[in-house]
Amino acid sequence: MTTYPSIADAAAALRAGEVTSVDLVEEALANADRLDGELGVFIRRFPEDARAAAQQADAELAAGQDRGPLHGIPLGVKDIIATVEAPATAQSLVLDPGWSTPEGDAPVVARLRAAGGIVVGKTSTYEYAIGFPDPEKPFPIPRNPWNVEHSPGGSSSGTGAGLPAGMFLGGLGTDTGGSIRIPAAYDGITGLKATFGRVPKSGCVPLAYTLDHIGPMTRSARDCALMLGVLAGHDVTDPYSSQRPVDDYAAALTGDLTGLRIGIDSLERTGDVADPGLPGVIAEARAVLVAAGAEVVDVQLPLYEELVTAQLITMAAEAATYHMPDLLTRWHDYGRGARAFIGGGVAYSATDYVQAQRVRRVGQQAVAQLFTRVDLVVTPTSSTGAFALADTKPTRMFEVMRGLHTQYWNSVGNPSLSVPWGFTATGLPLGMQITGRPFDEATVLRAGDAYQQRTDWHLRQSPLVQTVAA
Amino acid sequence: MTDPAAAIAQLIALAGITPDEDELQAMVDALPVQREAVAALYRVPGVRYEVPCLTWNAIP
Repeated sequence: MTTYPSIADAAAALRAGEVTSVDLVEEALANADRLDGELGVFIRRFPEDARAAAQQADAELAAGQDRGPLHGIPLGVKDIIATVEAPATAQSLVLDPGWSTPEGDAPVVARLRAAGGIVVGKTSTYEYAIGFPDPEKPFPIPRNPWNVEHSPGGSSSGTGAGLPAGMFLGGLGTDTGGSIRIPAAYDGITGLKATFGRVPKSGCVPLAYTLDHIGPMTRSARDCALMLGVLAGHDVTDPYSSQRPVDDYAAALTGDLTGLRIGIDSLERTGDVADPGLPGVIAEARAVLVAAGAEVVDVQLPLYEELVTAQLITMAAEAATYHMPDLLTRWHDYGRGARAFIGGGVAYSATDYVQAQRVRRVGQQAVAQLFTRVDLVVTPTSSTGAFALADTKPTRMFEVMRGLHTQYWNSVGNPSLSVPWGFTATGLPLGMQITGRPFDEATVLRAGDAYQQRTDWHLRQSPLVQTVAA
Repeated sequence: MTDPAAAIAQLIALAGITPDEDELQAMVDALPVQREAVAALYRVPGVRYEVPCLTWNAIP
C-alpha cells in the first residue's frame, strides 16, 4: 500500500512539498521488503541506485529543474528489457547474460530516466514472455496479490503484482498476445498496449517481431497517459517504430465521453468459459459509460476466431525461429512451459505463417470497417478471474489460460487498454478492455479515465496488502 | 488427416528438437485442433487474393 495511490497524486504531492522522491522510493523499497518474498515480484532490486537517483531528483526539483510528471517516481521494469544496472534474464537460464550489456538502457528505459523516473528493480516474467514459471528453475514464482494461490497473470507478472502492493507506482510490461492486459485484469490495475509501432521495442528480448509491444502498467488510465507521453515516439533502432507525431495524451483526459460512440461485444458467443457475474459487470459498465456521455451500442468483432488463430500461428512461428539455435542445444535449460510453447512452433508450416499474415490483412480491413461505425470497442479483457496456480499445466498453456480476449488486438495492432471493472464472487479482479483506432490512444485513454473518474475499482486494495500495511 | 503422432514425430525430427514424452504428447493432442484452425483461415472471405501483411523495403 502506498501513501499516494497513483503517479499523478505522487507528482502533485512532490511539487506541493508534501513528500520527497526519497520518501517515495523508501516506501516502495519497504513494501518490497514486506511482500516480495510472498509475491515473487522482482528478479533483481536496485535499492542503492534508486536511493541515489531519488536524492538527485529531489535536488533537481529544489533547484527548479522539473523533468515532468515522472520526475522522482519509482518504477519497475520487466526483466526482458535492457537496463544498465544488470543483465536482463528474461527469467531464463538460456538468455546469454551478455545480451543486454551492449544494449545499455533500452530506448524506453532511457526515456523514462530522462523524464526523471527511477528504476527500483527488474520484475519477474513468464520465461521469455511466454512460458509458465517453472519451479525447477532458480527464478521466483509470481503470485497474485488478491489471492496468492492464484497467478498474477503474464507474462508481465511482476509488474502486475508489484503495483497493487506498492512496490512501484508505474512499470513497464510487454504484450505479444495480452501480456500487459492480462496481468492488468488479473491484478486489478490498468495497462495499455499502444498501437503497434507507437512505442519502440528495441532493447527488449523479442517473442514475436510483428506482435510485440512495450507499454505502461499503472494504477490508473491517467498514469498510463503520463507514461505513454514519455514512451511514445520514433526510435531509429526499431525498424517497426512509427514516425507519426505523438499526441498529448494527458490533455485528452476530459472526463467526458460526449460525442463518442462505443460498441460493446461481450464475446459470450465464443462459448469460452466466463465468470457467472460477468453479465452484471458489463451492464454496470455500460451504464457508467452512458452516464459519462457516450452512446453505447452492441457490436460483434469480425473474424474473431480467425484473428486469434492468426495471432497464435504468428507468435509460435516467430518465437520458434528466434529460439531455434538454443532449442536444438539447450532444450532442458528452458522451463517446461517455455520449451513446450516455443518448440510447438515447429508444428506450423511456412504456408501456415503466410496465410496467417493474409488473414491479418483482411482482419485489419474488417476492423477498420467496424471503426467507421464506432469510436471505441469494449470487451472483457478476460471473461474469468486469475487461474489457480495449482491448475497450471506447463505443457498445455491454453487449457489453463481460458477466457482471454486480448490476442485479437495484437493480430491487427490497434491500441487497447485494460481497466478494472469489478470482481468475481471469489474476490478476484476482472478487467474491461477498451480499444480504439490505430494511433488513437488519446481516445482510448480518455474513455478509461472517464470511467475511472466515476468508479473506484482501480483504487481497491487487496486484503493481503491491507493486512500487511496495517 | 495424417496420424497426428506420426506427423509430429516427423516435424520434430525435421526440426531436430528433443521434447520429453509428455511434451510430445501435448503437441500430438493439439495437432488436430491446430490443423482445423489453419484450414479455417482459408475460408475467410476476401483472403483468396489478399497480400500478406509483411513489409519489405529495398533499402535496409
